[in-house]
Parts: sequence; C-alpha cells; structure tokens
Amino acid sequence: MALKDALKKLNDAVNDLTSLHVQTFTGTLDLEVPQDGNFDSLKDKLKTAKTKGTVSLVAESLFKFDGDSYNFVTNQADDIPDKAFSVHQSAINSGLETRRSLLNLFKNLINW
Amino acid sequence: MASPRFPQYPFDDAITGDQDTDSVEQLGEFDEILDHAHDKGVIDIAPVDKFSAENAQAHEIRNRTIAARLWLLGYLPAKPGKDESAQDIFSVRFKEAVKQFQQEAGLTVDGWVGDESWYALDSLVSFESDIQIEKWYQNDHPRPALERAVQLRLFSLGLFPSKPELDFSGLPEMAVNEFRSINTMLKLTETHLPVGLHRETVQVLFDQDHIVEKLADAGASASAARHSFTISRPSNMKRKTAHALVNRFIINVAKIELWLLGFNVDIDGKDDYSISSAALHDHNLKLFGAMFRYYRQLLEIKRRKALKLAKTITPELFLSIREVHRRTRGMDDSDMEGDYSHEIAESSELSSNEKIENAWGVIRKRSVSLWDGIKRLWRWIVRGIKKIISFFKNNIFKAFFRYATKAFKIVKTAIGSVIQSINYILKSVMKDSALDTAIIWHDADFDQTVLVNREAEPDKLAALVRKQNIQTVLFQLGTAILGFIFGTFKRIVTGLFGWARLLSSLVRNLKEIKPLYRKLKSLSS
Repeated sequence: MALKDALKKLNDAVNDLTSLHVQTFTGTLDLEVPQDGNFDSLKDKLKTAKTKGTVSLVAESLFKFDGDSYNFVTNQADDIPDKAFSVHQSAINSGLETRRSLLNLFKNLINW
Repeated sequence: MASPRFPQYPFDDAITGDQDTDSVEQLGEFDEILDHAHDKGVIDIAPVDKFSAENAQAHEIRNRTIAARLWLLGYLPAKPGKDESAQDIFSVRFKEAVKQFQQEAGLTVDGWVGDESWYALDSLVSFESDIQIEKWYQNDHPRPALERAVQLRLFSLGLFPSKPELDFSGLPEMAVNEFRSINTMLKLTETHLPVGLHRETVQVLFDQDHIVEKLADAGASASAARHSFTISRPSNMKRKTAHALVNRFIINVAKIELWLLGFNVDIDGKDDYSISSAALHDHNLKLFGAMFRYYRQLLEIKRRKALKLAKTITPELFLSIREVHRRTRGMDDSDMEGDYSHEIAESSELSSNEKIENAWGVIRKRSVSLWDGIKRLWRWIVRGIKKIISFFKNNIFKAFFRYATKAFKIVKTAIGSVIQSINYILKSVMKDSALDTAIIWHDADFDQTVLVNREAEPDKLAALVRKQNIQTVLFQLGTAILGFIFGTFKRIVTGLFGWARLLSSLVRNLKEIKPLYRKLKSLSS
C-alpha cells in the first residue's frame, strides 16, 4: 500500500482523537481460537463474559484532550496475573504516543 | 555545452493547501515525488530486483559507474562516453559483461547488479574498499575476476604495462614479482611476500592506506630533512634498476592519492615525474599543478616552499597524508561521514536552482571518481581541514550526492515504517494476540480493550508488551523523519523549486534524521 492510500484509510477511520480510552480485563475464557484468525468475533463474547462475571476489569483509563483523566485500578490484586498492569500501561502509552506522533506530523505540515 | 536538465515533474501544483485533509494528500504526494525522483534517476539507489534494474534512466548514475568499472577490468571494450544516454549504457553488451563478471567472480549469474555484485566490483576497483580477500579464492586459486583486478592495480601502480582488456586470459604468476621486490625494498611487510597471486601478496597490494603509511616511514627514516626515501636494495638487483622500479611505484602512489582527494591527475602507471632530488625530466604538468595546489592551498605552505616541494615527490607528501589518516584511525565510515550535511547544503555552490541542476549534471557524467575518495574526504574534514570540501566543486557535488542518496533511503525506510504502523493501527487486533496470553483490540482512534488471560505466562506477556512498545516507537520515529523532511521541503523559500528543492531538503535534514534512523533500524531488526 502506498503512503497516500495508507494515510487516506487512516484519515477515514479516525473519528475522535480528543480522548483515549483503555480497558484491561482478565479472566479465563472458554473460547476456541477462531479458524480464520478473526479475533473480532471474540470481542462480542467478551461482552457476555463481563456480564456473567467470568472476566473482571483490571484497570480502566480515560484521557481527554482538555487534560481531564480518569483512572480505575482494581483492588483485587491477588487475582491479577503479573504484568497485566504493565500491559495496561503499555496500551495507554501506545495510544497516547501514537496519537501524539500523528498530531505532530500534521501540526508540522499546517504550521509552515 | 549546457548541463543536462532535470527530468520534468509537475511539482508546483502538487503540494498546496493548509488544511488537515490537504495535509494527508500532501504527504501522499510527497511519497510519489520521492518515487518519481528515483524513477527518473534524480536519486539513484541500488535496484531491489531484476525488474527494477531494467529501468535504465532510474539507474543511470550507477550504471555509468558499473560500466566504467567493467571496462577497467577488461569486460567492456570502452568506458562510457560522457554523452552516452542511460539507454545506450544499459545495452545488451553491458548486461553480458555483467554476467561474465558475475561468473568470474563466483556470484549468481543473473545479469543485473544488485548490492552483492555492486560491492564485489567496488572491492576490486576502489582504492578505498576492503578487498575481503577470502571471497576471491576458490580452493586456494584466485578467481579470474581477481586476477583482472590484480593486473589493474599493478598497472595503476606502474608495475604492469597495461590494464586488462577484452582478450584477458589470465595473469601469469610472475606478474607480481616487481611488487614483491617493492615490498622488500620499501619494507611494506616485515617478511618477503610469497610467490604468485598468494592471498598475502594480494592483500598488501590492495591496501592503499598501508602503502602510504610505509612510504611515509621510508621517508621519515631517511633523514631529518625528509628529502629522500630509504630503500633496502636486494644484493642481486642493480642500483639503477632498483631506483627506477621504486621511483615508478612512488610516482604512481602519489597520483592515486591526489586523484582520491579530487585533484585532476591521471592514474596511468607512467614514470613521468621526479623523486626527491633526482634530475628533472618529462614533467607531468598536471601532476605538478596538483602537487603545488596540495601544498599551497590545502596545507597552506608558503608559495616558494610549495613550488619547491611540488617539483619532486618527496616523503613530505606521504607524511602529510599519513598525519591526516592517523587522526581518524579506528573511526568507522559512518562516524567519519559526520554531520557536514548542513555545510554542504549551505554551500554557495548549491545555493540556487541553476547551481544544483549544474551539480546534478556533473554528477550524472561522473563514474568511478564519484564513488572513490569519499573516505579521504571525510578524514580531511574530521582533521579540521574543511576547506577540502570547498577546494573542489566536484568534492561538494560528490558529498551532496552521497548525502541526498542517504537521506532518500532513510526517508523511504521511514515511510515504510509509517505504512506498516498504519496497517497495524487499521487492523483491529494486535498481531501476536493469543488466547493463552492476551488479546489487544484497538480502533483507529487508538482506544484499546485488552483481555489478559489469568493463566498467562509472565514472559509471554512481557514479550507482547515489548512488541507493542516497539510498534509505537517505530511509528514515532517514522513520522518524525517524515515530518523533518517534508517540513523543510515546504519551508524552503530560497528560490529553490522542483528537484533542486527536494534534493536540498533531503541534504539539509540528514544530520537530524540519521540518529532517528539508527534507532528505527535497531528496533526493526
């Protein structure tokens, strides 16, 4: 894919860069690996699992463009596997830094 | 004769607008401009496959060099003329010559010059490349391509009557005997060199830096005044014969060194100058002019003394060259290339569209000299003698071309990294997600849902985190590099437009993007 096409697809897909929302769950799911490698279908099952209580929320973070933020971390730490929090933090970092990179790139372009 | 003009590209309409949406278009256009620069031969990088190698215009600069090197080794009947077109150079005969070289060099015979064939040719012809001797022997026998290269090097040093030609049928073992005698007389090595095309002999023959080092030694040991060279004449060699042989050798080593620095001298193997205090005869005026400028303008020696030094080749020449080389010993090429991209981009020789077009026109017509002498250029700059750059316009152009090519490669790599990252972003599930570890869903707004398996192994989770972090940093670095170059491209307001603007923006940012590129490469590997 050429850069033009990649940027256009990204531009079309991006709706809202004003906030970042990251949720991390843990649990043991009775699931099968999708034959087609399409993990999206599992996301629906995640919703059901949340309702049934077979997965639990480890941490949730919401960052808004105006600086407001919200962070929740479970107090049931004993049930949480090691590194789960680092996965959550990594996801936040990835989201924030990737958005920042994109915004910086376009900021440079329009500020000349 | 007017310099060849850049190929046309509709630049001025492409990059306009200042809205976010237009920015996306603009960046996309910029990538297309880069590809166009390559297709039209404005920037020439190695072809990645046989198909892309067929684009003669895109690879005119490299093909001209390849053809010149093949001619030097006797695979082609003549070197490419300055007025030969890209298509003329990239002829059937050229491709056949490439195949013959590849066969004689033990390479894949496919008729196109990718990195492997390019570096093989370079190691045989360039005075600054490492010969990588083991590659050139098969069952202890030198490959035919090496034999040609040995003859060429001997010719360059005045130790063989001619360079290899089309009728080359092998080099007799005794061909290196004069060099072996030189080795003994000038003590290039501690012991005598073996007979024939032995690895050890060939290694010394191709080590130009080492030869200069030893000539400097031979001068330094002769006398405090450094007027003559010490030689250890074998008892079975007449004095006159020994001196004639050594003189011829020294004259041609000097020619090679001055040529590498950018002076206009011919590497012709001739014995046409004076050594030390020997009687003057048949003065090579080109060499005299080069020597005088070397002493007077490069080393800033007073005129009278420079004139005196230039009349003969004395140890002073090699001692001064060695002094520069020694200051950079242990540094690798990328360190030495340094950060002189700003100086080059700001040079008065490249300050307008016409001048950059002219530089490009000169570059297009150069061949072998475009790719040799770069190490010496950097050594003198690192030594603090930056005037080597402005000393010759061709050195500026050479550096400009190298910098632009490097920056181009970096930017294309960055674009590849950005595209890869965008593909990752657009895929809603992170690669390497697995039910036994964790699944990471993300949307294009970068919001994420993570499911960590309660039974997940810590090592696997850690690996997943690392991969995500790497992906993030790759995107950061890729967009930073792209932002630098494109930002400069849009900001240049000094009257540069079209290809000149592109080339200038590439060179101006090389210093900034190189460290980002190193990080990007280390993460990608």
